[in-house]
Amino acid sequence: MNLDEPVHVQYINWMTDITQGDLGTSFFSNQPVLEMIVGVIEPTLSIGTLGMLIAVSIALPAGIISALRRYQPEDYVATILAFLGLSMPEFWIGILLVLVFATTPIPIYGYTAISQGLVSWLSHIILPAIAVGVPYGAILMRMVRSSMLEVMSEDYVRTARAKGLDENLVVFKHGLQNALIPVVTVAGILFAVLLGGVVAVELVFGVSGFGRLLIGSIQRRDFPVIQGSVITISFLFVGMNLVIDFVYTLINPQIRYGGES
Amino acid sequence: MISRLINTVSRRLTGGSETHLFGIRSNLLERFSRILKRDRKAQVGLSIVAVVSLIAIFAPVIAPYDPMSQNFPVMQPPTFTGAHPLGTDSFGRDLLSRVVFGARLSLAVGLSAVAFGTLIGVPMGLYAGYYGGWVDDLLMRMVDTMWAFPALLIAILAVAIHGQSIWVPIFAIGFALIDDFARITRGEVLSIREEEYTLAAESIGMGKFKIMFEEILPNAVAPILVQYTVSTARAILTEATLSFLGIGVKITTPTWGSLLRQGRGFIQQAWWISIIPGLIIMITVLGINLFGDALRDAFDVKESGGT
Repeated sequence: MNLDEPVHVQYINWMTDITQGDLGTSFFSNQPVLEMIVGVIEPTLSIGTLGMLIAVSIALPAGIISALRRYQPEDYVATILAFLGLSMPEFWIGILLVLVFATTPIPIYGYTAISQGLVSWLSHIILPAIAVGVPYGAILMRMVRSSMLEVMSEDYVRTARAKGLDENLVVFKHGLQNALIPVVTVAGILFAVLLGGVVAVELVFGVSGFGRLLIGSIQRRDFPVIQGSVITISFLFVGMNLVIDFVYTLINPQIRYGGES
Repeated sequence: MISRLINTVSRRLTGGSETHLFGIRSNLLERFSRILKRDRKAQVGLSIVAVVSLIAIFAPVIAPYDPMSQNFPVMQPPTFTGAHPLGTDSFGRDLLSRVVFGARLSLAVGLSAVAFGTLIGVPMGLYAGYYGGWVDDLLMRMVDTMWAFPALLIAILAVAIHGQSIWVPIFAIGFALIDDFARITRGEVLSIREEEYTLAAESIGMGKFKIMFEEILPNAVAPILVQYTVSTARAILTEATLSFLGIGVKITTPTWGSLLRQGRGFIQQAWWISIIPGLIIMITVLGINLFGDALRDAFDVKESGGT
């Protein structure tokens, strides 16, 4: 521990260790922290990724329909559902799902690794992923809607319609492609929300993932594990936003990095 | 200074002088009351917010029992009438009383957290936007750094250092909100800085501080107000999550989040301990969100997703 060293020396030691992939050793289990985190990250990333997929696959169609049918019944239904969705804590949706699916074959507890069969894996993470994905999808849906509304009133959309382009082409190529840019930005920012949600949802579904480890080590005051987890979260968060930056260049060729403007 | 600011804001709001938002001369309060008259969303939202606020304020009068007293039968299901309309929890405490007192603390945490974020974020945005140059660079880089720390992370750090207390969620959520407020204020200031009335104030030699707080800030109030409502809704949800995880308030402090945490172990035996507080959170947050969205429509503020 080198607690006799001055703080700055301890800090330099710690930083040196981190750059070499050494996050320290747990007070509690004497295991290397990195090993512990790698061991539990799979369920968390599985739930997070599937949750994001669910969110996007709700948000895109609902947002587009809502924008195209503004102030019509479809829009009102979508809006009401979206407001309900973004007013519930993720873990509480999880609790509701546990109660509803308690008597069905879909497991409401635990996790099996993807290596032990795809169906079993999917059936274990589907409910936690829905719990995480619903609020996230609701926020994204509102974003898609307002972004689409704005884009669809642009001059180039009117031009596209005026020259007789197929409406599908107008909506998806001229509309959606431009509307997605702010949505992608927000999706990146909301990754933090999603991550916090997964941590709480894991507790509800008894998944021994990253959230369990994190909360457990806070209760045990296992500082090396807490530190390592915090570093991991920031790393995921910043990494995710880097990915978002790359996605920009894919959906909008006007944005280029490091090259000519 | 603060009282003068409030005076200026209320004068602008109540029509003492007109505001100059978005290039149109119009009055915020007038716009708002017009929206309230015809927008169903605003009516529903405002009613929910009003009812919940009243419950929170008059909690000791409304709650039938002491939220801490454990003198009742354990885990009684809700009957919606009688002695314990919402049932009792695993320690034999009256759930209705706990939810009512929970309203007090949950709203207090939410509002304090957002106030914390506003009080630091708005002046940062004002200085960054008005001074520009290196002040802008310095402040906005600080804001960019803060952005990499979600409330969950700050709460973990705060709990690890300080232990559980009601200050942890306030600080964690508030800190995570600073960057939203700073960015929104700065964006607004950048356009107001070029308005004629700002230039006029500059030309008659008004001090920079006075210009920022008396000319610019009152005219940047609309988007900040919208962000304030949206952030309060988010703050209540985050408090619930943090307390549920055990990195918020102490489990003995009855916020809605800690009520949910107590229900966690009894989902199968006593669903109401978890479901009822969650339902109350949902209704409250829904009310605030609807109200915020109506404000957004009324003030014509773009959806930023900064939640």
